[in-house]
Amino acid sequence: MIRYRYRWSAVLLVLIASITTPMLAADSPGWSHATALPHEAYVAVEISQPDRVLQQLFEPRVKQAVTSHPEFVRQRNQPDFLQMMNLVEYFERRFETDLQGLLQKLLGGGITLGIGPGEQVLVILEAEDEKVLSEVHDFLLMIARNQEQGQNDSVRSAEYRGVTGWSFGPGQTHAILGNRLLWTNQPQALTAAIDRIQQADLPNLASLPSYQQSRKSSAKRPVASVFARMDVLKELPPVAAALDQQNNPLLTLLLAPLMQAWKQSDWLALDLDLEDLTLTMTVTSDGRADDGALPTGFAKSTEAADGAMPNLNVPRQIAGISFYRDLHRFYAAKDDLFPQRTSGLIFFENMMGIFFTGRDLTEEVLAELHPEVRMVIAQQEYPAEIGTPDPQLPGVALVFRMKRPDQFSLVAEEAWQKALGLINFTRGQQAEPGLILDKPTHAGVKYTLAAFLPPEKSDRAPAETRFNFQPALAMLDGFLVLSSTDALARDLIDALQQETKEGVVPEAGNHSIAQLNGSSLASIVRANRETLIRQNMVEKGHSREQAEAEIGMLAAVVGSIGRLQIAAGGDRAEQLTIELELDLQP
Amino acid sequence: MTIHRRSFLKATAGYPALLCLAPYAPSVLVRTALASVERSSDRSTVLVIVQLTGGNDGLNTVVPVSDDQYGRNRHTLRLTAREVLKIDDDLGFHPALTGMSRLYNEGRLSVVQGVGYEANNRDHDAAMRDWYTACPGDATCDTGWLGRAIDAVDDSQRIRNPGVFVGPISQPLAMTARRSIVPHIRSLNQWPLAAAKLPVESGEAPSAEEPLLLQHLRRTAVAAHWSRRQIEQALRAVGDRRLYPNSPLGGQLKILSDLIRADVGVKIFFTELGGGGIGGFDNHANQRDNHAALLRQLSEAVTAFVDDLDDAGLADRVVLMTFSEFGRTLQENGRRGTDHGNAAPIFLAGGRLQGGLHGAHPDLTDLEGDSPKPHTDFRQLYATVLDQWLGFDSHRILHDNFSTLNLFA
Amino acid sequence: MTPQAAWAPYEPGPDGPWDLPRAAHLLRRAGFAADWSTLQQAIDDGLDETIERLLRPPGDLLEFEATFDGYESAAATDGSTESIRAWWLRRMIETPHPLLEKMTLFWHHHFAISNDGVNNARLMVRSIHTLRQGSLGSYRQLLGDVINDPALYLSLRSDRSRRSEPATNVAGQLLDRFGVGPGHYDEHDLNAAARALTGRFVLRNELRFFAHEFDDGQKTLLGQQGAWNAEDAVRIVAQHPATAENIVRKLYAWLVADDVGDVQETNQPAKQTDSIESQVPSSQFLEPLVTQFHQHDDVGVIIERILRSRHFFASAAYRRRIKSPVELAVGLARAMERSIPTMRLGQQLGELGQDLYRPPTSAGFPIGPDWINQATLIGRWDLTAKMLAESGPYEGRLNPATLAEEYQVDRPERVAQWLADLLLDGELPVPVRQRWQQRFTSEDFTAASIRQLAIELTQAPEYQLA
Repeated sequence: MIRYRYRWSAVLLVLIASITTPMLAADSPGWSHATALPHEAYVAVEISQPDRVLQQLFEPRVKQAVTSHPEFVRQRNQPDFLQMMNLVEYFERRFETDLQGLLQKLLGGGITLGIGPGEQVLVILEAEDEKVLSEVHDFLLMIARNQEQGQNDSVRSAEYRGVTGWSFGPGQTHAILGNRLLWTNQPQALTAAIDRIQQADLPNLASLPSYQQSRKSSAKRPVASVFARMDVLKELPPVAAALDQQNNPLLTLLLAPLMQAWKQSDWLALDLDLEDLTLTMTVTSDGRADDGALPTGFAKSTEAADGAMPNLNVPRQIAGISFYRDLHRFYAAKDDLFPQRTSGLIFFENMMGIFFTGRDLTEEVLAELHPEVRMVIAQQEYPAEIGTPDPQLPGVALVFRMKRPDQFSLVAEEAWQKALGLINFTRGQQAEPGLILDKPTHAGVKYTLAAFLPPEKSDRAPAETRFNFQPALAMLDGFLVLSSTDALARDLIDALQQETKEGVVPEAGNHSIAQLNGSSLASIVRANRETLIRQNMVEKGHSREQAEAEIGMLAAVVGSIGRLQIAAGGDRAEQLTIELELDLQP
Repeated sequence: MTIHRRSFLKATAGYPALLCLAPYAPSVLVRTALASVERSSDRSTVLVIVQLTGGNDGLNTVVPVSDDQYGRNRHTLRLTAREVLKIDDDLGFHPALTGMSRLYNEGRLSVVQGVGYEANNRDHDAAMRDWYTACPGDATCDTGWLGRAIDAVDDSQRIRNPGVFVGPISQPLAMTARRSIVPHIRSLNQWPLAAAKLPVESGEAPSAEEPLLLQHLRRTAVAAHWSRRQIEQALRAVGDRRLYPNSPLGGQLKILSDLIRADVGVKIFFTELGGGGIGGFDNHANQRDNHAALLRQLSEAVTAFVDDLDDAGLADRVVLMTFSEFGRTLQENGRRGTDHGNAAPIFLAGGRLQGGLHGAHPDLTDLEGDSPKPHTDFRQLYATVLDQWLGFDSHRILHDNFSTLNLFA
Repeated sequence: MTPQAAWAPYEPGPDGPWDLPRAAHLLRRAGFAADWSTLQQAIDDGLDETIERLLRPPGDLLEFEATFDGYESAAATDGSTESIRAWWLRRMIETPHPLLEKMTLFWHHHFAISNDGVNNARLMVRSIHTLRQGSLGSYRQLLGDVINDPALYLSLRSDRSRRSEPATNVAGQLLDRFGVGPGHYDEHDLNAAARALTGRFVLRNELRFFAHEFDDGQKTLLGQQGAWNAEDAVRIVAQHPATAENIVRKLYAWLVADDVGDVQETNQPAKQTDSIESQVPSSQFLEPLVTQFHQHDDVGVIIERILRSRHFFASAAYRRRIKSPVELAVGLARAMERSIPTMRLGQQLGELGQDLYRPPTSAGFPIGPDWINQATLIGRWDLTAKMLAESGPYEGRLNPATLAEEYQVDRPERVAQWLADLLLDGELPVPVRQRWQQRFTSEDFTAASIRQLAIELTQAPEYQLA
C-alpha cells in the first residue's frame, strides 16, 4: 500500500523532469467539460490548456533545475523510480515521442475534476490521441490483472449505453468514451456522467447561472480555473467556522473584509495563468468587498482615489504588506467584531491606558492615525560584537501616518518611552539585562533607539534571542515608524523620504496589498536551518537525515518563488477580486 | 501510595458483575444492573466553581447605590439606582446581570458579601495561589483545596474522576492533588472518555483470584465503558436541552450539564471566565464596557445552566459558586478603571439554597488601602460547601476549623 | 524463604527457565520495553551477559549523550519546557543505555523539581543532567549535587534563607522525602536542618552563599551535634540508616512491585513455574539491600543485585507494576524501533499525569494504581491507538507491518503470535486471535489490519502492566 503511494510520487517527478525535445504545439479543442459535471458539484477544477502548462514545465531551465536538485538525484536511484522510467521509455518508443509528447497525447485535451454532490469525485481526462489513451489503458488493465496473481480477479467490467465501465478495485470505476477517460469514486456517478455526455439537455454544471456568471467575469481563457459554490461550501462546518473567526482582534483587522465578502458570496472563481514562468492567479467572487455600513466596513475607503499605499521597499526585504484600514472605526466596533473580553485584550487596554496616560484608545489615540498601515519584514545582519543569535528573526516594522503630527508625535514618544521603561522594569525583576536608550540621527531624522549591551565574550555559543531586537521609534513627514531593529528603522527613513519626494499615491480600490520576496525568505530559512531541522525532528518524529531532506526541500521550494504579489479589493462593482502574481525562479 | 485490599474489594462490589459482561448489549439484566448504579448516586451532590480571573469589581457587581462614598469616588463608572437591578433600597445588581437578578428573586441565587481574607497582598499570582491552596502565604502548600478533597474520595469512587477541570486555559492549582490525576476537558469531542474509540472488547469482570493491579485495571475499564455509555445517552437526549449562550463560559457550562446528566461520578467541576493569564476582570482602564460584557456573559451562562438543570430535575443536586482573587479599589484610577482591592461578593446558584443576601455590605467609610475590608473569610465558604454540601470533613482538607455559614436550605 | 535467599542470585532452572517472559520483564524494568532483536539477543545470551549490557552498554555512549545534550541546550531558550520535554522523550526512545534514562526518570520522580517554580528551561535541563550524571552512583554525592542545584530552591519557592528567618521548605524535603522519611525526624531536626541551610540565596538563577546570613551556631541534627552547614546536613542525612531504607524502598517500588498491600497472594501468574512465594516488602525483607546500600552507598550495585535476584524473577514481581505513561509510550516506540513526534507526545503524556519537568507537587508524580482512573485508562488506549495509526498526530511513524516484514514474519498466521511475543510476552488474547484469523482468511492481510491487531494488543489490560 505504502509502496503504491511512493510510486506515484515518482511518477510526478518524472512528469516534471524528463528530458524532451521542443514541444509539439497543438491547439486544444477548447470546449468546457463542465457540461459533463453534475449540477450539484460544488467544486470544479478545469485545466483547459494543458499544453501551455507542459510547455512551461518542460522548459530547459526548469528541467535543468529539477534534474540537478539533490532530492531528484536521490530519487533517481531508487528501484521504484527506475521501474517507472522503464515504463515511460517503453511508451516513448512505442509512440515515437518523448515524455512531454506522450503527456500531450494523453492529456492534451484537458483535465476536469468535479467534487459533489456529497463525496462524489468525477475526473474527466481528454486525450489528444485516442490510440495512446486506449493502449495505456490496456497496459494498466494487464498490470491490474497480473497483480492479483490468480487470486479472485478484482477487475470488473459492465456495459451501459454502449460504453464499457471498468473497476480495478473497490471504490473506483472508470470508462473510456472515444478520446475521453471518465474516472469516479462512485459507480452511479459514472452512469450519470455518461447520461449527461450523451444527452446535452440534462442539467449540468455549465447550465448553472452562477457558473455562467463566474465564466463571464474572467477576462480571457485561463490555463486553468477553479469554480466553487460558496452557497454550498459555507454550510460545511469547517468552512463556516473559518469564516466566523471572531475571537482574534488582529485576524479580524486583517481578514474581516475578505471574510465578510465571502460570507455574502454565492460563488468564487479562481483563474490561473502561466506565462513565461509567471503564475497569475485571479480570485473573483460575487460577494461585495466592503460594505461601508457593516462593522467590517473599516476597510472601505471614503474617497474613490483612496486605497492602500504601494508597498515600501528596503534592502534585504522579505515581505511588505500594505492595508487600508480605518483603525478608529475598527476599534469603535469592537463589541460587534470581537465581543469576547479575553485576557489579552484587557491586558492590551490596560497597557495602552498607562502608555497613553489615560487617553481614550479609540477616540484619542487611534483617531489620530490615517487609515494607511504598512508592515515591512526584512532580514537583518548582526554586528560582529553580538554574534549570531539562534534563532535568527527578521526585523519587523509598522508604518503609520499621523493626522496631526505636531500634537501626536510627542504623545507617541512619551508612550514609547513608558513602554520601554516597563519592559526594562519587568526584565529587571527577572534579573535579565535591560535596554539602553539612545537618540541617534539618520538622514537628518533624530529617532529613539533602545538596544542591549553586547554580550560578554565568554563562549562560542550562539547569542541569545534578545539580540534580534533593537526596538526603534522614528517620526518624519507625518509618518510614524515602529521597528524591531535599528537597521530597518534607518532603511525605512530612507524609503519614506524617497516616497515623499516622488509623491507616491495610493492604489485606488485595493484595501490589501502584499508582496513576498522568495530569495530573502529562502535565505532566512537557510540561516535558521539547524533550528528548523531540530523542530522537524521532534514535531514530525523524523530522523536527522529525513529532517535535513525536508528542510532542504523547503528552502528549494521557497527559493523558487521569485516574487509573489497579492492585491485584494473591490475595483469591479459588486465583486471582490484578489490578484496574485508569482514569479518562479528555477 | 497504598491501596488496601479491603477498599479494592468494596469497590468491586460497587459494580454489578453483569455490567462487566456487555455494556453495549442491552439485555434486561444489564439494564437492571445499570439502574442500580444510577440509583446509588441519586443522593450525590455536585459543586461547580466558576473562577472570575483578574479581580472582579465587587462594588460594580452588587452596587451600593445609596452610598455617597460610592457615588463620589466613581466618576465614569458609577451606576445609579435607576440603572441597577434592584435588590433593596441600598443595593442593586449590575444592569448586565438580568438573568442572575431573576434567579435571585426566585430564591435560586445567594449573595455572600464582604468575602476575602486579611492577608491578601493584592498581587494576582499570590492572591490566586492563596485562594487555590486555602493556605494563604504558605509556600510549602503545593496542593489545591479541591485537589485535596478529590484525594480524600474513597478509592472505589476515585477511579471515576470525582473532579474535573473544564476550560481552555491551563489547569489551576486548585485542582492539583498529590495522588489523583484530574482530567482537563477542553471540549467533549477531544476528551478521550467521551470521544476516543473504545476497544472492541468491553473487558472482563475483575476476579478476586487475580493480582490486585489487574483487578484494578479491569474494574476501571468497566467503569470507563459504563461512563462512556452514560455520556452517549446524555448527549443523545438533546431534545429537552435549553440553549446555552454562544460564549466560552456558556460552552463550558453546557459540557458540565452534559456530564452531570450523564452522572458519571464527577462531584467537583472547576471552570473559568476571563481567559486565564492576568484575566479579563483586571480592568485598570476602560472598565465600563469591558466589565459589563463579562458580567453579561456570566449571567447568561449561569442562568441557562441553572434553568437547564432545573428542567432536568437536577437543580437540587448542584451548587455553583463564583470567586475572584480580589475585589477592586473604591476610587477610580484616572484611566476609567479601578485597581486591585480586597473584599468582594461571591455568588452561589442552585436549587437548594437559602437565597438572598448573606452578611452586610462592607462599610465604605472603613477602608483599607482604598478597598472594602473582608468580614467573612473565604475558607468559611470552602468549609461550608465541603461539610454541608459535598459531605467531606473540611478540617481534613483545610487543616483548620472554620465556622460555617448558613447557606443551604 | 528468608530475605537472604530472596535476594540471592536467580538460577535459571531451579528458579524457573530463562525464557521470553523473564527476558522481557527484565528489559522492561531495567529500561523501556525492548525491540525484537534485543529481546532475542537477551534470550540467547542469558541473564549475566544481558545484565552486563544493561549496566555497561557497548558502543559510543559519550557521542550519543553529547549529541542530545546539544539538542537540549539549543531547545532550552525560554521558560517553557515543551521543547526540552520533547527532546528528553526522544532521548529515551533512542538511547543505547535505557537503564540510565529509566533511573534519571526515577530521580526526577524522587527529587520532583518542577519548572512551575523554576520557569527556566536551561536550569531544568541542567538539573536533569545532574540527575543523569549521578543516577547510578553514590546517593550521598547525588544528594549533595541536588542540594546545590538552584532549581531545587526555585521549585520549592524558597529562594532565600536568612539567619534570622531560616526557610524550612528545602530542609523539610531533605528530611522527609530525600532522607530519613516521616517518623524518623522531629521539629528539632527540621529546625536544625533549616539552620544548616541558611545563607543560601538564588540570585539571577545562581545559587549563592552569603556567610553573614549563615547561622553558624551549634545544631543537633538526627542525634549528631555540631556547627553544621549544608554539606554536613547532607552527609548526616545521607548516612542515616533510615535514609538507606527510604531509598531502597523507593527503588523496590520502581524496579520490582507497586506497593498495593498485595502481599498474601500465592496465585501463579501465567508462565511462572518457580516456587518462590510473594514477599512482604517489610523492613526485614529489605534488610539485605538496606545494609548493603548503607555500607557502600552505591545505587548501581543495589540495582544490579535487585535485577539479578530470585525475587525479581518470581511471581511477586512479574507484572506487579503499572507502567507510567512515559514507560507505556516510550516502550511502544522502542518496540516498534522508530521515533515519533515527541512534541505532541509530551503533551499527551501530560494529560495522562506525567508532564516531564513538571511533577504536580513536591511529592512527585503519582505512582502505582493512582496512574489509572477511567479517564486516564481510556486516554492510554487512545494514546497507543494513535501512535499505531496510519496517520494522525503521530504521522504513522510506527509501523508494525513493515517491522514484521523486516524480521521476515510474513505469514499471516505467524504475525499475530509474533506481535504478542513482542508486546505481551507471548500472550495472545483469545478474542484478538479469533478476529485476526477471520481477517486473514478473508484475505484482509494488509498493513492496516496489522496496525489494528497491534492496537488491540496494546489495549489488553496486561499491556498496562510493566
